[in-house]
Amino acid sequence: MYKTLTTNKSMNQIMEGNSHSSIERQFFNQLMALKQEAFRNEVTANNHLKQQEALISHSVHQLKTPLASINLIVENNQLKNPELDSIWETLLLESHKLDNSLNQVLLYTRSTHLLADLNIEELNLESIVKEVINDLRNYFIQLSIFPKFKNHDDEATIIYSDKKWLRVAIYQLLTNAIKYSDPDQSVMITISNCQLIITNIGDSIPKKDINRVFDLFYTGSKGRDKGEATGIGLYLVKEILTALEHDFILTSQNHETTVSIDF
Amino acid sequence: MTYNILIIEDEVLIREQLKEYLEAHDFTCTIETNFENIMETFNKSNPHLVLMDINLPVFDGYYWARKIRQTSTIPIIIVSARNNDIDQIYGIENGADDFITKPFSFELLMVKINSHLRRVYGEYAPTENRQNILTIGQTNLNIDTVELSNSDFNESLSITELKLAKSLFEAYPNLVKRQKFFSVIWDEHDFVEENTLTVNIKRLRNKLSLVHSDLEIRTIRGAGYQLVNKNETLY
Repeated sequence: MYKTLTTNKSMNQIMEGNSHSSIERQFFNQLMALKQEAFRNEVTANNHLKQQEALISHSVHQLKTPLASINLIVENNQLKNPELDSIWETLLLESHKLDNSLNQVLLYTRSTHLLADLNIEELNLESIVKEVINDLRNYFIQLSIFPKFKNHDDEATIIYSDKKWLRVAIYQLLTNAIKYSDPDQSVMITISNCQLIITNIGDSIPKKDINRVFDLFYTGSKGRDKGEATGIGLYLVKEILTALEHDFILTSQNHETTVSIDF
Repeated sequence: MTYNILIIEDEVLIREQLKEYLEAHDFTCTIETNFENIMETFNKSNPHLVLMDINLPVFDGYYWARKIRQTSTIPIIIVSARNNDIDQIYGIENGADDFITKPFSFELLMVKINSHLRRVYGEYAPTENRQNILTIGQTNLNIDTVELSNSDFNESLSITELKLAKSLFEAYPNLVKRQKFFSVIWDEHDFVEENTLTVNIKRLRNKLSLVHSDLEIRTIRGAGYQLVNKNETLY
């Protein structure tokens, strides 16, 4: 019976034919009902997902307004009460962390349709890296960490990638390099042979953590000590670089951590 | 001339903080509180620039940007929590000139406001009133000629030295934090290195003594630098 259905007869034949047993028709009807149910479930699940995404995006943007108020109040008070400066600085730093986490949630939500969203074009790697370094200017300065940029390639390093998502990945990797640097150290950012290499000096990642740092919600022992790791950032990096088909390697030993991306 | 800025923002805390900061920086502000008819306030206050949120009661900011554009070409800067490309494109297509994402710093806001005002109303209209020479005691820092002077003595400065000296003169007699210096001398292409600060402070110290200034730069370990008057220091 099963064999008949799948090999010899088309669905229409089964429907039209009077020559078939009622058991065949019954089975067919059951299949159609299941198919419809599966379709309905898929639509419901998709709607649900869309609604959830809209809710997250809406809530995150709602949270940004009070955050903006806090920042402006702090900045106005920095001018009025400079004697409390260390308190204002702490507040700004905390608010920066909050904003960072909110952005990660947004990016994570958007990354679920990462592949559909890609727009591959010809890009100059050096100018993208420099843009991201400039975006992180305040974070570098706040933590007294300095970027040391070098391009060893003779000609402009042209790569094929998605500008928006590649920027997100580099931003995340640099944020981590700054966050886990020893004070007053430099983050080395090097372009060489179509490779981007980011190295920071600071506690190495323990061997037991290194294969798991790209897992969602995984925060290594260092991240937990610092109390600010969300476990989203490096997961996003992995998703993005995998979607863009750029190979990458993370190594960490002798108080040095290096990420290299091959383009 | 004082520039008048119209603030269209339904969040009370934000508009009050904006007003406080802008008025402290020699702007006048008009605050919209009735979101039913923004054009009435717009016509009455006749602003030089509009700062406007997108999510507003009654109609959204895109609507008001289109309305304003029917009668005026003044700069409109949109202030919004939404940070994706589509919102920015939509804002600009509806007549806005620029976009700033919440949360933002006053520093960035001022850069944007000043650049739009400069573009529309000319190179810093009130130039003659602007003080381009900073003076402490007998020592002058001339921003236009990039020179340090004291009675008959003159020393020209490099751009980096000028930036550092300006921060020190403006903060006098207070300390200027290291972070502030790094922020001032950050370069879009070469960024900044720790060494750049120490080397340039050393050069500036040298030039202060070359013009026989009463001022000297004191190092506050781990914090920053401070301009002090040698003669007033109590030991």
